[in-house]
Amino acid sequence: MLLKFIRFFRGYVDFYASGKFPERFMNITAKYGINLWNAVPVDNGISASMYVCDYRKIRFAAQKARVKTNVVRRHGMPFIINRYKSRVGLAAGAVVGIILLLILSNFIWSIRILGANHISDTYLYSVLAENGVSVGAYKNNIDVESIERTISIKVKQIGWMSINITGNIIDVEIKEKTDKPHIDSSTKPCNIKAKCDGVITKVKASSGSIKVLKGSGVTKGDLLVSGITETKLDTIQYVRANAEVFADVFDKRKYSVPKKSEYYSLKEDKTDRKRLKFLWLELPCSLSFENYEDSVGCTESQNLFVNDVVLPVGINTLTTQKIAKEKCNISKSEVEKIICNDYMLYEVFNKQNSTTIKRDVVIKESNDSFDCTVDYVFNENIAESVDFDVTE
Amino acid sequence: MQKNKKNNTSDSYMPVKFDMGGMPLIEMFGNRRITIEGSTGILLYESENIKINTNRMVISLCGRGLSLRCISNSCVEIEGFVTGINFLS
Repeated sequence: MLLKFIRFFRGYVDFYASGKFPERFMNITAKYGINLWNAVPVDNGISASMYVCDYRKIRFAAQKARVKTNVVRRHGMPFIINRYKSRVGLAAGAVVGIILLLILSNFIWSIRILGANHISDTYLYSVLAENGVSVGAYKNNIDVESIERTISIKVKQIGWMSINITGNIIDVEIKEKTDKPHIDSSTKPCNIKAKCDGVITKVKASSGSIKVLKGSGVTKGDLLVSGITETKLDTIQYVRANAEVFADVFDKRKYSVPKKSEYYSLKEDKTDRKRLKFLWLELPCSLSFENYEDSVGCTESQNLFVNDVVLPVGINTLTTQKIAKEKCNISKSEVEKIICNDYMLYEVFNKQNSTTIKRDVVIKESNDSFDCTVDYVFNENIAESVDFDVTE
Repeated sequence: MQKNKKNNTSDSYMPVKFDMGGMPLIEMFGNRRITIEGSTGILLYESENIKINTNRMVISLCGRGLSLRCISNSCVEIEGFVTGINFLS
């Protein structure tokens, strides 16, 4: 195998030597240390193989032995190179390709983040970039252990992380921290008091003595469940009261919507600016010079994707869309929609633990605006723990 | 005496040498492969008969499908089905 490999790289020829003394030809070549193999006797001569460099030297031997040599077949690398000698570009391309491959194999081509469910990928990419881990970074400059430590300290949500460099791809594996549940570890006695006005609908007390009844009205700060209880032996015991006290709570919100308003709206005019991205290089590949007075923009990145691997070649498109101020008169029906959106948002984000019992919307029209009042009745937990000292 | 002893011991470690007197050394692997050391040239090369010249004699090999596997200045390796060897002097 090795011999075949060597012969291929040095190049060899199968030739036919015919004439008077083919044996003498073999003797002379052997005498001068010329390697000859596959020597097979044929009619009036021999057929054999020889290295190309040796074949160039055997003219004298052929003359001495009075034989004529004819090349039957050529094998090996020198002949392949010779065949493509005129196509210099091919060889140059191959050399450039190999050099490029060698250079590019030292840089990071893509980064994958695995296991980040609650942490934003964009944020993680920016944190990694701050620590020198980005597409196009020099692979040998990345100190994995130190970066892992720094990021784990900086991003509190990360419980464990590992940066694995496989070839030119970085896999960042993350395990997120699970938030500790809030456990009331205080042992001080406390009362449960009302945190707002309301009418009691339900009391669920696990400790303490209940001081209010269902249907009774309470004001802010009223005692609902006491932390002072009596034992069977008529003695006083101080406990940490724990209860859920649900009450119907009244709430009022006011909105004012102007009749005439100005807002920015998107127009149809837009410009796409494309840039070819290669590792850290970005080259503009579209000519568009339109500039708008007011505009909004968004960037879209598209990368080449082969076999689940994101390559560092792609196109970044920056889309700029024109916006313009518009004036409009708002009608009552539109006000209703606006108010409806507002109170829905309020209920979802501010009163997520409450049940809406009643909602009355009143819209009054004035000269230049609509004044809206929304009266709510929410059913919610109004219990609030208030610690007290035993000396009280 | 001591000197003689030393000489004896050193002689015992010396490899055995035979004076071949320019005779060829023939090594045979059955009748399929023959290596001849001490050849001075090939006199005849045919697939049924090969004659090798040595210092003292000519070795003639008869057989079928005979071919020279390797050839150098003083060594020849022949492969094929050898049916007879003649030493011509």
